[in-house]
Amino acid sequence: MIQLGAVEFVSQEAHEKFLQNNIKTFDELENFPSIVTANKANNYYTYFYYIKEENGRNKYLIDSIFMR
Amino acid sequence: MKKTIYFIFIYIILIACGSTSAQNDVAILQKRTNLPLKLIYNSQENDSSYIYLCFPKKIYIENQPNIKNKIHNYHVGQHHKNIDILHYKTYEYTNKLIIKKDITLNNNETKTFILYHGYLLKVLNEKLDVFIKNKKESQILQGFSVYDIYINDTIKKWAISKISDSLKGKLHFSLHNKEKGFFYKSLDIELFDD
Repeated sequence: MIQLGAVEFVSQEAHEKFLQNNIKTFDELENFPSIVTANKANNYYTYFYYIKEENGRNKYLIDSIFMR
Repeated sequence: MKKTIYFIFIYIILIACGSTSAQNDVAILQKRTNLPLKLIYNSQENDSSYIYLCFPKKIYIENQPNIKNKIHNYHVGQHHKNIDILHYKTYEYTNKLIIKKDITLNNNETKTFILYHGYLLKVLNEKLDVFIKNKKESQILQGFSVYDIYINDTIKKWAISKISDSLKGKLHFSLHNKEKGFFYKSLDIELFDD
């Protein structure tokens, strides 16, 4: 059984690290430390994912990524 | 006719039993705590600063017999399936704030743990000075300074004025067990215990 979820406001820095394969787990993505600024040029992304349980471990499948 | 009524009656009983067992898989309750608030200092602009103001919650979880549940995540926000990682933060607490971990609940097991849920706020630098000037940080979390803020009436009034009911959200727990797969439980939250 799989379940759909979303992570909102992923920072540009976290997004780049994810694409470079430097963020390897869901926990790392969710807890990535980002400095918040009022700069309007900041980009944020929404990740839609499916979560699936396999042998006692959770597997996250990124479905789509949207720029906010 | 009698047979039809009999089957409808059995069907209603089965549905009622099913929904009761689904609701009673795991009970999640809040308990009082006297811990201070935590202020995570994020960044400074010209006249104001971004902080996360975090509130403590003591959570009591009671699992039911014959089923093993796992809490694989919990977060504060508007929706149980959407995790907003900019405006909200959630940490586990054991003497200091730590990154949250999965919680496995064996049959009939009860667990108590403390979490902090935080909100992103923009505050004037003069106001921030009142909170942190001449104070030593209680820890460094992921490169950010964390300060203890002891609760008093002034802090309560200020926090309630900054965090509206629409921002407050709920505390959402994502759970999993072999029978039901993934499911969610949400708790209404109050910023302060009294």
